[in-house]
Amino acid sequence: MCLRGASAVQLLLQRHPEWNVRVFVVWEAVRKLDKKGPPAGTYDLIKDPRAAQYWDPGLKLSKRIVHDMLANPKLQPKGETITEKTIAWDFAAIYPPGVRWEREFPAPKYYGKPVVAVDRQIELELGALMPSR
Amino acid sequence: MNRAKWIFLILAAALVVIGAGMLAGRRDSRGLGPAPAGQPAVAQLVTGQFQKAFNAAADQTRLLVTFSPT
Repeated sequence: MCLRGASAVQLLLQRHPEWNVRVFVVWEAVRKLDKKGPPAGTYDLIKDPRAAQYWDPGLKLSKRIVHDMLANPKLQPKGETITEKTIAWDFAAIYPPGVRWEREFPAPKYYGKPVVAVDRQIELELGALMPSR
Repeated sequence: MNRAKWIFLILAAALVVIGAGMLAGRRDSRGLGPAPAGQPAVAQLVTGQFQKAFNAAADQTRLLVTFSPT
């Protein structure tokens, strides 16, 4: 599921080479198998030069997001139950220009998961943020 | 060149090709690997550094996606 989501992100970026977007791709060690690190070729799933990729074996980003959501329930996505055991993964979040991460992880303009199921919505939401020609 | 030398040369060439292939697809013990062309090097996530990179791109729209690699 995740690998298809990554491929879907690459495809949507390919469809819009003119978009001024920065893509943060975080590979997380969610499953036992993941602990060894992404298999060879994983990082090539998203080849677009607008992307920067990270490996997160300790689930640091997920822990930070969950921590901030528990501290501020307004950050929690509607319809999702967040607990200390929640792992935030296989999601897409979109932030317009100007949004900064200060004391807590910022609320996105758009949030959806799993990525492979929301690729069309990601494309629409990103497109809406791009300046019209 | 005798037969033994030819066999040695072929085996040596095969080892070079296999080694080059392994290096091309390598990942180090930290789970990092070569980034696709044009991207910054793959980094192990450090929250503070990631936060800085996120904010450094605040003049742009940003898309954050997270995945399991398996």
